[in-house]
Amino acid sequence: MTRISALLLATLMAFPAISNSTATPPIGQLIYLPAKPVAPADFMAVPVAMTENGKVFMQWMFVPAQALANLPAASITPPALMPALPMTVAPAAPAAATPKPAANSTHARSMTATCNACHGTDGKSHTAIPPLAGLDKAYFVQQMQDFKSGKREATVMHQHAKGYTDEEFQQMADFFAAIKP
Amino acid sequence: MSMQRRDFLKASAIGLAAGGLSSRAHANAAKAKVVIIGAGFGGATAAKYIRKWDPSIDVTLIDREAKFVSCPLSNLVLAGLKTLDDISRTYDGLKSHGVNVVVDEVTAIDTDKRVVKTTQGNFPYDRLILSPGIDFRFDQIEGYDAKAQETILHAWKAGPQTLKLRQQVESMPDGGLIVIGMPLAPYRCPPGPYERVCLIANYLKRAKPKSKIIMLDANPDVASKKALFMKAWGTLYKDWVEYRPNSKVLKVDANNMTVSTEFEDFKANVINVIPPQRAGQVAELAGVRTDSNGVWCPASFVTYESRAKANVHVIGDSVLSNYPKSGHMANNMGKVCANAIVEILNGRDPNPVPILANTCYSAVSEDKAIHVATVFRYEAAKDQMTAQPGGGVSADLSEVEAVYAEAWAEGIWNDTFM
Repeated sequence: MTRISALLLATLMAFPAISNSTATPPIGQLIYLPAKPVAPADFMAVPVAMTENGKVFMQWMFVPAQALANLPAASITPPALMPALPMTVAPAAPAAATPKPAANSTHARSMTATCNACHGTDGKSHTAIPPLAGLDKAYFVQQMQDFKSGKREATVMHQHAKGYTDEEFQQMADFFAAIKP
Repeated sequence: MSMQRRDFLKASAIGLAAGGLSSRAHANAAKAKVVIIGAGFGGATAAKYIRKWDPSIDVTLIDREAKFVSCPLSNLVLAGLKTLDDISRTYDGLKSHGVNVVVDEVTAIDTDKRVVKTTQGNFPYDRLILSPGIDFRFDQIEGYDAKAQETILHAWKAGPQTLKLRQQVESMPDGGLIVIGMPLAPYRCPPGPYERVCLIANYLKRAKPKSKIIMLDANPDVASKKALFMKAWGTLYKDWVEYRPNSKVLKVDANNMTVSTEFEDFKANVINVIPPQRAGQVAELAGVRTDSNGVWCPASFVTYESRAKANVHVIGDSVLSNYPKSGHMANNMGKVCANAIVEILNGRDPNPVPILANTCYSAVSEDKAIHVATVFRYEAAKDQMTAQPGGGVSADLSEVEAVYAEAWAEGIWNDTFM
C-alpha cells in the first residue's frame, strides 16, 4: 500500500465510532459510507470531512477498499451533518424497508431493461452474446440459479446473477418468455 | 410522497392545458413533450425507450454533433486496431422510433417557463432530460489554456481528437516518449486511462519498440481492475510502460512540450492529459450543477429528477453518485429515467427499486480483454444505489472476453441507437 493510502487507512481507522451527532466532525473523519466495496482490488470515492479556515468541507477521497471493509455499514447520514456542511446532499428517505414493487407494475419491464445493453433490446441479440427473447421459463430460471450458485461456469453472468433474488429470476423469465424472438 | 405527486399532476395538467397541445399535425395529439439534451449513451437510450414504452409522448433529442462516436473502443483507434468509422453510429435508428433529432447548440434553458432555446428555435417541454456528459476543468492545470489545448490533447471525447492523438503517436520517432496524465477520481470511465496505456503500448511494441510511455496518475493507486492491468503491464508491456501513482499533473508547457507534477518535469514527444472533469456545461445552463463544488449534479436515484430543479432530469456521467461513470451505466440510467417519466406522465408511480447493472470491458491487447461487473440496487433507507455482493472482475487476461467485449460494444450500440 502506498504511503498516502496507508495514512488514510490509519486516519479512517482512528474513527471507528461513527455517530449521528450534529457536532462538527473532526478532520479526516469518514462521514458517509455510500456503499460497501465489492472487490478487494477496488478503490472507492468517499466523502471525507475536512476543515479549512474553520469551515467544514466534504472532500472526495479515493480510498482502497480494504480501508472500508471493516467499517460498520451504518454511518453518519448526510442530513445530520447538513447544518455544518455547505455540500448539497439529498435528504435521506424515511428509514423504512425498501418497498416491494407490485407484481403487475412495470417493474419487470424496467428491471429486465438492464439486460438489454448486452442481450439486445427485448432480449433480441444479434451478437455473440446469446438472446433471451422467447427462452423457456424454467430453463431461464435454472440458468440464472446455476450462474448464481457457480454450477454453470461463466465469465460475467455469475457476477450479475448474484445481484438478484429467485423471485426476480421468475419475473425476468416470465417477461422474456412472452417475447417472440 | 403521493401528495406531492397529486400536486404535480394538477400543476402539469394546468401547464399542459395552458400551453396548448402539440402544434404538429398528429392524428392523436401528444400526451406530453419530453426534450432531451445530449445524444450519447444516456440521452439516446432515454429517447428510444420513452418512445418505445409510450409512443404518445413527443420526444425531441438535441445534440451539437450530427452523429455518435463511441468513447468505448476509441483506445483501439489509438492503437491502429480500429477506424473511427468502426466506432461511429448515426441517429437514423432513433428517427425510426419517432424521435425528433435536432442537431444544434443549446443557447439557453428557462426552467420556469420550461423552454429550451437553440440557434434554430425554441423547444418547450413538460419534462427535460439532460445527458450532457462531461466538460474539462482545464483551469485546474497551469498552462493548459486554449492554445496549449491544440497540441496537448485529452481525446476523452471520441471524435476528431481521437484521430489527432493517433496521428501524434504515429508521427513520433522510434525512441520517443509519450506521457499520459490522468485525474483524481471521480472521472469518466475508471479503467479507460489504463486501457489507453495498454493499447498505445501495444502499438509501440509492434511499430516503435524503442519508445516508452510514462503514466502520471493523480490517484494513489490504479483505480480500476488493478491486478489485471498490473499483470498486463508486467507481462505484455514491461519494457514500454512506467506507471507513477500519486503523480498529479499540475502544469503543462505546450511550447517546450513539458508536463510537470509536484516533484518532476517530463519532456515528451507526445503529451496526453486527461484533465479533471465536471458535468457538461448544459447542466449549468439549467442550474442543476449544484453539488458543493459546482461540479456534478445531485439527482434522485429513482427518477433522476434534479434535486435543484423540478421537471429537469439528469443522467449519465453528469450525475453526482458513488457508482462508476460509464457508458453502460448511462445507458441503464437512461432506461430508469425513461420508465420513471413514462410512469409519471401516465399518472402512475415510478419503479421504487431501480436496478442498474454495469459491465465494463477493457482491451489489454489486440486479442485479450478484461472486465468488471457490478449490480447496483436502490436502497430507500440510505437513498443510494448500493453495490450488491457478488460483483467482480475477470479471473485473468482473456481471449474469450475479447470476443465478448466486441459483442458488448455491438450490443450496446444497437440497444442505444437502433
